[in-house]
Amino acid sequence: MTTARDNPLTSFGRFTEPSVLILATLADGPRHGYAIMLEAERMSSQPLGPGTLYASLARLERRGLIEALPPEARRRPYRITGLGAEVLQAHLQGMRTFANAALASLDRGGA
Amino acid sequence: MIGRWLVRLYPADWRARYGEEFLDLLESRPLTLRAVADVLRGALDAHLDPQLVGDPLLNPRLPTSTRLLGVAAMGSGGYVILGILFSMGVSHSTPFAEVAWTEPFGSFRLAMFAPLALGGMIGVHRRHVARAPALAWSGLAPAVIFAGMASPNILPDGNGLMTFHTGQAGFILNAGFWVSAVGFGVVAAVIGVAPRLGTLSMAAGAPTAMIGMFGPTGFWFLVAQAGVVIFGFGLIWLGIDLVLRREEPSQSPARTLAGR
Repeated sequence: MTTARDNPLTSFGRFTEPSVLILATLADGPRHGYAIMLEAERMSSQPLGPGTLYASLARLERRGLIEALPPEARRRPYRITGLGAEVLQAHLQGMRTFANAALASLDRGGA
Repeated sequence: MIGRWLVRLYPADWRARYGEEFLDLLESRPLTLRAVADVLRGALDAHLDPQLVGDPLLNPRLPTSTRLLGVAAMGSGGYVILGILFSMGVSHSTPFAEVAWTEPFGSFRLAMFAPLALGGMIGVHRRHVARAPALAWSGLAPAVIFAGMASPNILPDGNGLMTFHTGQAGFILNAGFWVSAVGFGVVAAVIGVAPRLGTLSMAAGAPTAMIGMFGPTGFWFLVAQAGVVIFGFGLIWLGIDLVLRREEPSQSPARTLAGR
């Protein structure tokens, strides 16, 4: 069980947030680079640059959170691994806990 | 077209693994300035973190002596760029003056920059020899000949500094250095072992600096300084590559893992 404390994504520095986004786009099935970029932009309403995308993909692959599938012409699909799904879930749970605590604080403050 | 150039900014190992699919992504929609800037940052990141691709155990770092030559290249590049910045900062009355190229800076330039730059070139050259020996030697030869020609012309000036011949001899030797750098940069770019951003910066910066130095004053000094900065950047980039790069997959058992 991966906890927020030993979450490998936290060592990704500025690539943590894009990496979470990439894992989220792969949660429902494999996608290639361009499809990941489009889905990530749809999910977050923020552009995901090509350099950032591949810097994050390389880190995720190195840590075994995603894996490459055989290429289809020039495109290579990626899929999330079991470890990747576990890490994503732990990360999102942490975000949910944080969001709930922050919302509760807002409620208590009456803002 | 621009996509191919951008992909070439990445390290060879990275390109071997992600190059095709990355190029496909770049060609999937029009490139914006923001996307280009993002790719440049990504390329820098890939150079600074070469462990992104390859197994560090199977792809060891380059030999220590080569990495030290990389440090020399970084030192020489940083030295000339700092010299330019320094000269611009201290010469208010003579905009873009030739402070960086006259005493006392000029003496230190010769004493520090030339050996360090030559060391960096030798470091890159050592990697080239394994790939294309004849071409590698032809690229290094002008720099070695220049160093041999220049050394007897660096003389004590009586003030504890070393001075350089001025006049015709100085002109020829100065031109010799920059021409050598162009030849080296072009040969290095053709062989393709070193990062093209570094080799092409050397090849483009050297003639720009030379043209600016031998042109009239004023605007041409600015051109010369821009050329030196580009040249210095190339040396720094090549130095970083020598320090951080790992052995090519073809030189280690990791070759079989290259396509994983």
